[in-house]
Amino acid sequence: MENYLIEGPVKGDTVAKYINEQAQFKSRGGHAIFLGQVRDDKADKNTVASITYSAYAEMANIAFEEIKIKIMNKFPDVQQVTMLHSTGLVKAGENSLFVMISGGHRKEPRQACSETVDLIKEHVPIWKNEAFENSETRWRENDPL
Amino acid sequence: MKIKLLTFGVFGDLTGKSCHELTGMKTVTDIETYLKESYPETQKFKYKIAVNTKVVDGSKELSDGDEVAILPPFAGG
Repeated sequence: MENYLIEGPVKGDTVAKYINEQAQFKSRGGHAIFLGQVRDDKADKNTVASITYSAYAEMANIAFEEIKIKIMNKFPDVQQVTMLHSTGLVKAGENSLFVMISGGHRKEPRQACSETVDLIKEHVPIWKNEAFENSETRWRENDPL
Repeated sequence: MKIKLLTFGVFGDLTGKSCHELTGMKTVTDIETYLKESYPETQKFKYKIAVNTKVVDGSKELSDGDEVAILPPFAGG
């Protein structure tokens, strides 16, 4: 099974590699990309410095695979679904999620990208522990936004 | 009969470790009772239970070697 989890942040050169690989697929006319970035949220004068992500890796990779199949079945113009999620420590300002949807035209990849991000947040067993600048930590649930 | 219990997120903190080996558990309800009696503070938090990566309900019977996971609300992204 494909591994959708990477240790540490999703770095720019990783994103660039996936973009550059698309040059070989000349029937594709549109790619929609989402990058999830760790925010420096504030709480009671504390500021989030980093998030440590943990995952139930085996179940998470199954969930990612099911999301890919669901998206490919729903959007016939979509030719590739790329998803990467961090585990371990990701500092504020760094990226923890990369989604790229590639298709023949622009419309379906854009819709599919939005749906894919929502499905990841809802169905993939990943948890985040925020660490503040004063070293306090807290488990955080997802915002509905 | 042995089962492996995995506890994620806040449940790992509250139970002191992320992997427990348990015996004498026949159903998922037995796991819930174990959590409630051994770590009562866990009852303040919502969770689902998965057996061998599939989310199940309390009536699910367990088999030797099953991997049971306590899953607080997901928070990826």
